[in-house]
Amino acid sequence: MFRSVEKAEALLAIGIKSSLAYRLDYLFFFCFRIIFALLMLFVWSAIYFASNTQSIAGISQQQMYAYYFLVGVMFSIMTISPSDQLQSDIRSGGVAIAFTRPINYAFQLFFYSLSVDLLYMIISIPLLVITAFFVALKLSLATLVLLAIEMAIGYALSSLISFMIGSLAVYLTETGGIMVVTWNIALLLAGGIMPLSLFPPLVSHVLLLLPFQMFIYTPVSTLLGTMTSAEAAKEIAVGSVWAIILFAVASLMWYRIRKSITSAGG
Amino acid sequence: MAAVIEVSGISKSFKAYDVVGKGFLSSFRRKYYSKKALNNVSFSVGEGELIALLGRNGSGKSTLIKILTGILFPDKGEVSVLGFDPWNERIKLAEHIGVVLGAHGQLFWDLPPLDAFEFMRKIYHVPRKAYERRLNTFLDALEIRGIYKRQVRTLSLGEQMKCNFVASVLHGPQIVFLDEATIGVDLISKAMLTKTIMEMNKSENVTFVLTTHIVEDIAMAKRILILNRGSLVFDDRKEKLEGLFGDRVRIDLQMTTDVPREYARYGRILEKGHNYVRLEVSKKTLKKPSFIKLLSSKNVMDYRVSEIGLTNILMKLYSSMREKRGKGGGGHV
Repeated sequence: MFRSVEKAEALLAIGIKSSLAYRLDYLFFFCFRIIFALLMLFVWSAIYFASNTQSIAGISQQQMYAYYFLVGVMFSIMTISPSDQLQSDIRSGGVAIAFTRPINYAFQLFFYSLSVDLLYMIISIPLLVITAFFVALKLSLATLVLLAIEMAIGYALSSLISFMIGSLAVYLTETGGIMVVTWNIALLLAGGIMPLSLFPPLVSHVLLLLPFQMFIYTPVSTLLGTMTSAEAAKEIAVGSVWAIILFAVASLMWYRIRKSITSAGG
Repeated sequence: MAAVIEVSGISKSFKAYDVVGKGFLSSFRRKYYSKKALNNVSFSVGEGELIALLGRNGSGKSTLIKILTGILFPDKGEVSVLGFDPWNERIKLAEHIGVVLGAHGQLFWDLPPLDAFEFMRKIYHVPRKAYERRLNTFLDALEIRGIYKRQVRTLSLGEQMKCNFVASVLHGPQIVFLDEATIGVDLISKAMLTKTIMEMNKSENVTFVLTTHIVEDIAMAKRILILNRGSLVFDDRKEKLEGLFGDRVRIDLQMTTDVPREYARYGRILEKGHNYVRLEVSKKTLKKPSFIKLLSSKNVMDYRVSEIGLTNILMKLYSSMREKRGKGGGGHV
């Protein structure tokens, strides 16, 4: 157990150090999140103005603005790092080097990706401060515990999906296009384009049963206080079941793909 | 000598493809085929041995190394390395071996080698004092003290290779696999690496399996294995390989006139100019009175006899294997 912790710590440390070599890139990603929130802010300003109302489906204008800044925070959960890294390792033959180390490859990939994403999460903190200008955030201990669990499950789910897409590189070599398509669909289904409560009731109900709600809608609603603890607990249960299913599918895929890996060299 | 590597009848095939036709549409037309990388290969390696695995490009050397280290699995056959099944016990085996795979490194492109060394220390759980003692030994032996804190991307290929070697052996492995580990390394650095490898082999009884095309590297090995199109065609002491063509010598002759045709009767003409000829003859020929008379003739200005070096032996060997294959032979030595 101690040995695994030491290996995880080593992977996190080297990943963070490597990522910091591209710190300017993180600044641009932060700008993207601000720009995305501002774009949505303009769109919803127009919608509220045109409909001449202060509330749409029970969401006030201030809450809506806050929602999109928090979406920017939750982008960090929707990771593409495992897919990026796995595809790069398969294409460059780096997977062979990873296999020479006394660490399970999936373990290496997860902690290395986490190190990259941790930095994205850290640069999201100013967005939380901006959000606090619009609405009073529910930051009780119970909310923070719920939020931590939701974010952890959301991150595990998106890592598993990203891992499964990346592992297709064994057959397809390039999976960037699939990842972009999946990420954009996931963004819609996660409530990144608009809150899930604005969809027709039946669609909204179905979307809350899918894994994507754990990426954005559930944690943001928990922070805004628009989702009760009981509702959040139900979504956590749904997310956990999906995590078990996706873990089983990813393991099965990896078992088959591991045999097909043939890195360069003759 | 206890065997640390045992390979029994392993084979491995890859699916590969050739593009069909030319131009833009060739990207969409592929002809798939199965390429046999290894074909029923068997051998064993004793503890503390230093062996060189040779063969032309695409002969299956890297595939064999990858199977021995658990990166690839064989289609059939059995492999045991230090008593472990490399495929099913990869992580346990990895604790005891070091692997250098050519240009791919254990180093991190954006960080200095020092960070990679620290990373390896942690994942192999090397005690701090032992790590520092070992690191200092390598820093001096390979003269990398001045560069190991610089970003890897700013290092020369040779410097990267030396640091890569250190990262792969810092944990004190029992077996080290070196796949083209001296690419881009200058002569002096190569000598340093050779000395370090020999020292580790002698003082720590580390087993080395190296694949290379460089003759100086082969000189380290006491035993040579040669792969040809996936089949093991030679497995013996280096002296035996040298002895394969040991009865042949080369003669460079400088004449005052045109080279007479009769030289061709005594051996193979390798090169011929207006008044110059390079011959390959048997050592017995050198003792023939008629040949001695020919060499003593007035029109011979100068001549030099030289042994056939390892480079030429391998060239001849690879050529003869190609010829045998062309004639439908198996290419065995």
